[in-house]
Amino acid sequence: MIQRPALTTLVLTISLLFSSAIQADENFRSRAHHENSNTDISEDIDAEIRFGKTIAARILGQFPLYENEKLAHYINLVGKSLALYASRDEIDYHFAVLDADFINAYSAPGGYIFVTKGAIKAMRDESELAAVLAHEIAHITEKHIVKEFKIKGKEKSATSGISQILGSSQSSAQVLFTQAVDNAVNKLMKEGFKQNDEFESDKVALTLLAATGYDPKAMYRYLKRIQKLTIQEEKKSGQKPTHPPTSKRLKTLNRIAKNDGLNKLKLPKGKKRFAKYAIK
Amino acid sequence: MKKLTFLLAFLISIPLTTFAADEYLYVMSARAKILSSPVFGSKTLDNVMKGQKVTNLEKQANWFKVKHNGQVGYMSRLAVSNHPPLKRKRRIASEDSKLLNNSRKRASTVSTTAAVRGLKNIDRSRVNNKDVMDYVSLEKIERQTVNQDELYSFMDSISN
Repeated sequence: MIQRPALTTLVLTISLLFSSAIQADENFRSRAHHENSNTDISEDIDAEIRFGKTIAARILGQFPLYENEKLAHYINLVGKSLALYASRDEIDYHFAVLDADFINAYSAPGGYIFVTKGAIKAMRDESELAAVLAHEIAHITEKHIVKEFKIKGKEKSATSGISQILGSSQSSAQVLFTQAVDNAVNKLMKEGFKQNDEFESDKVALTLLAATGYDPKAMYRYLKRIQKLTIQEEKKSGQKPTHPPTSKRLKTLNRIAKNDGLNKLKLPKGKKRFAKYAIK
Repeated sequence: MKKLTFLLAFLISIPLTTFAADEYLYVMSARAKILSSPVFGSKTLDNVMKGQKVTNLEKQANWFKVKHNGQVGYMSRLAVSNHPPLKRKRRIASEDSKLLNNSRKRASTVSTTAAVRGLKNIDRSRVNNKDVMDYVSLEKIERQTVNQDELYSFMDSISN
C-alpha cells in the first residue's frame, strides 16, 4: 500500500511529466510551424517566382509560343480548375502551348506550365489534357526544382539568396544566378526530374484529377497511347528520355489507382468540348 | 485516499484532453470537399474554402478524418496543412523590368550575330537558342487571365 506522502509525490511527478510532455509537444508544434513558415515565407516564394520566370523565358527562347488565343484560353481554364484544388493557392499558375511537334510538357517553379503542340495532338479528350497539366502542377506543388536547387529568398549560397543576387549589381552574382538557371533548364529539358519526383507527381496528379472531377484513368490512357510514339521520337532525335520508362509509370499508376479506389470512379472525360479545340 | 486517486485521475485526464483537442488543419486549396468516406466519389458533406479551419481527428493514409460545423468527414491530405495558407502571389513588377533588361541585352547580342549570319525572323531570334530568353511571349502568357465567374462555371460544367 502506498503511503499518503509517497502518493502525493507520485501525483506531482506524473503531473510534472505531463506538463513537460505538453511543453515539448507545443515546442515541437511551434518548431514545425516555424519551419513551415520559414520554408514558405514570402521571400522564398518571390525567389521561386523570379527563378521560375527566368526558366520559363528560357524555355520560350527554345520553343516559340503557339499563337492560338482560343486554345490558350481553354488550356488556362482546364489548368486553373485543377490548380484550385492544388495545395499551393499562393501561386498564380500560367498555362501555355509551345509550337513544337514532339510530345512533352514542362513546368517551371512559380507556376509556369508548358505543353507542346505535339502532346495536345496525341490527346483524345479534356481529361487527358487535365492529366498532363495536373502532373506538371504537382512538380510545382511538391517543389521538386525548388528543393533540388535550394531556392531561397535570403541566403548567400550559390543558387539561393536570389533576392540579393537580383538586387546586386555585381556581375559575379549575376553569373551565379545564370548558372543556376542553366542547370535547372538542363534538368527540365534534358535530364528530367528524379524518378521518385516523377512518380510523386503522377500520384498527386491522380488525386487532383479526381478532386476536380476528371476521370483519373485519363493519365493511364494517355501514357499508354504515347508510349510507342515517344520511344520513336527519342530514337529519331537521339535525346535521352526526360521521364522514367512509361511501362514503369503505367504499373505504378495502376497500383496507386487500385489502392486509392480511383480505378472504380466513373468521372467524365470531356471528349466533346476537347474536340472543339483539338489540334489536327 | 479516494480524493488523491480522483486527483491523480483528474491530472492525467487534462493533458490527454489537451493533446487531442487543439489540433487543427487549414484548407490550402481554393476549394475542397469534405467527403463522407475516404474515397473520391463518395458523398460530399460540405464544401470548404481556402483558409478555413477544420478539426483534425485522425490521419488515415492519404486522408484526414476531420470535424467541421458539427459534421465528421474526410479530406484529401493534399487539400490541408497544419499552417494557414499564404496570400496569392502576383507578378513581381519591379523585377520584371530588370529581367527584361537583361534579356534585351542578350537578345540584342543574339540578333546582331544573326544579322551578320544573314538569318531572319524566327531563325534569327532562336540562333544559339540555349541563351535566348523570350520575355515578350512570357508577358503574353502572364496577361492571359481568366474571369473568376467563367472559371467557376467551367469547373461546374466538368462534372455535368
